[in-house]
Amino acid sequence: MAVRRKFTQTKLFRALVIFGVLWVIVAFGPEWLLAPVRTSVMTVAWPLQKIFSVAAFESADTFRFFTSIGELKGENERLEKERLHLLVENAQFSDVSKENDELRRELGLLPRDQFALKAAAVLGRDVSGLGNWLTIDQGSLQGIRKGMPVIVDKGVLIGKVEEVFPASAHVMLLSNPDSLISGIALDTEAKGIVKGEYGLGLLFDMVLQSDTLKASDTVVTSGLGGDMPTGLLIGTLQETRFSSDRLFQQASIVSPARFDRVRYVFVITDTL
Amino acid sequence: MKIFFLRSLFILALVFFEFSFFDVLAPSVSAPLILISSVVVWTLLSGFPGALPMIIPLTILFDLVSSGTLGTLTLYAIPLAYATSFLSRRLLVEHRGMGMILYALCAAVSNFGYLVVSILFFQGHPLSFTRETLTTLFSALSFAPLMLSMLLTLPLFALAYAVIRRFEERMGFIAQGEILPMR
Repeated sequence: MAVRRKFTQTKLFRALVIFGVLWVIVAFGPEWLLAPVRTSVMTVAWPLQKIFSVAAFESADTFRFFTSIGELKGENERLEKERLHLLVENAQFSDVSKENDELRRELGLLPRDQFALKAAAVLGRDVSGLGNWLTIDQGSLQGIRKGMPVIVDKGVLIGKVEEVFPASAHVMLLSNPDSLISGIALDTEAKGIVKGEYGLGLLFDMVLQSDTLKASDTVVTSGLGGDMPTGLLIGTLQETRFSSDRLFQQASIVSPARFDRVRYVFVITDTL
Repeated sequence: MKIFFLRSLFILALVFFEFSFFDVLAPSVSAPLILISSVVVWTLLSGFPGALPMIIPLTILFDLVSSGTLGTLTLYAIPLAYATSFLSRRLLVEHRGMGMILYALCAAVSNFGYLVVSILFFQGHPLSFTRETLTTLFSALSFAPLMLSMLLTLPLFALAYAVIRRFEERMGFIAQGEILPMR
């Protein structure tokens, strides 16, 4: 005659108990308990992360090279046309640039290239593929602090430092749904908040109905709130629409930076 | 002590291989493929109770070092391990040939399940089922990355199975050596 096990002796019961305990730890686990563990692990694992990330980037570059061979000719022609176009624009803008510098001096605005920058390499990314964050190889020992803006190239904002460890830091990207940056459209001077949309893109939200939004307008940081320098490029406006409650205007923003391909970034440690 | 140290090192290597190598190499992949495959493999090799001592530290460590909310993979791994154990005992499929393909497919579907759970419960709108939230959230589950994740799981599962089985055999050998020291 088969002996019937009690429910408390079954695997299902054990699974439920373990799940419950872990859920309690997850829901109510104190930060002061987990933060030191996290910091220690991130510090100890830094060399391992460095080795893995360098290997990954080199492998990705090699793979991309082979897959792009067929596209190189067309890409080359396109880039050559763009180069000529940019040369012409550059000549036209050199005078505008001088005038801009003078006006900035007069108005007391921060010059765009007067930042103290700390170069950093990307060590890891958001696993969920939603483009929420990435890990860089500079930390508190190198002078990185929470809240510092992170850019690529010559001033394209991609996010800000969210969490700092001794030898690394987590950067919250603009595409993170928790990211909120105050922005301003250059042509129409419409002010709003730049929010992330789960890696789908960026949204220029909370723009007053009395302001004008124009597709293809450039959005930069407005400097309101004091946490970001003014004038860092965020992206270009796309389609505009009203918010679901019809109180504000919204527009999608396309960033010139490819968040999923970034390998090196710059942290703005100070404004000069 | 040696076994504990080696197991800890192996878990650490797996976690950082996942998000410093694999996620950098393939950023559009939407779930921790290697870790989810590892959870399934360990459950197949050691059974549900036997796999827990490796699965729980693995998933807790991963959640700790990632910037996602602590608990996504930790909580998901327990029902995943239980379901794997349940299926493997009910279906009585061998760990080779078509059986392995079936388990690899289970791991592939598990990756999709992880992403859904992660988005629904841990991405800032927990259980907020407004139309706009759901539209936004499920738009993030675009077809190409999901298919890529599921396709990549098949070879990664095979690799994880080979590596973890080898590792567990080695650990068994070391454990025997500690219990029965050769003179």
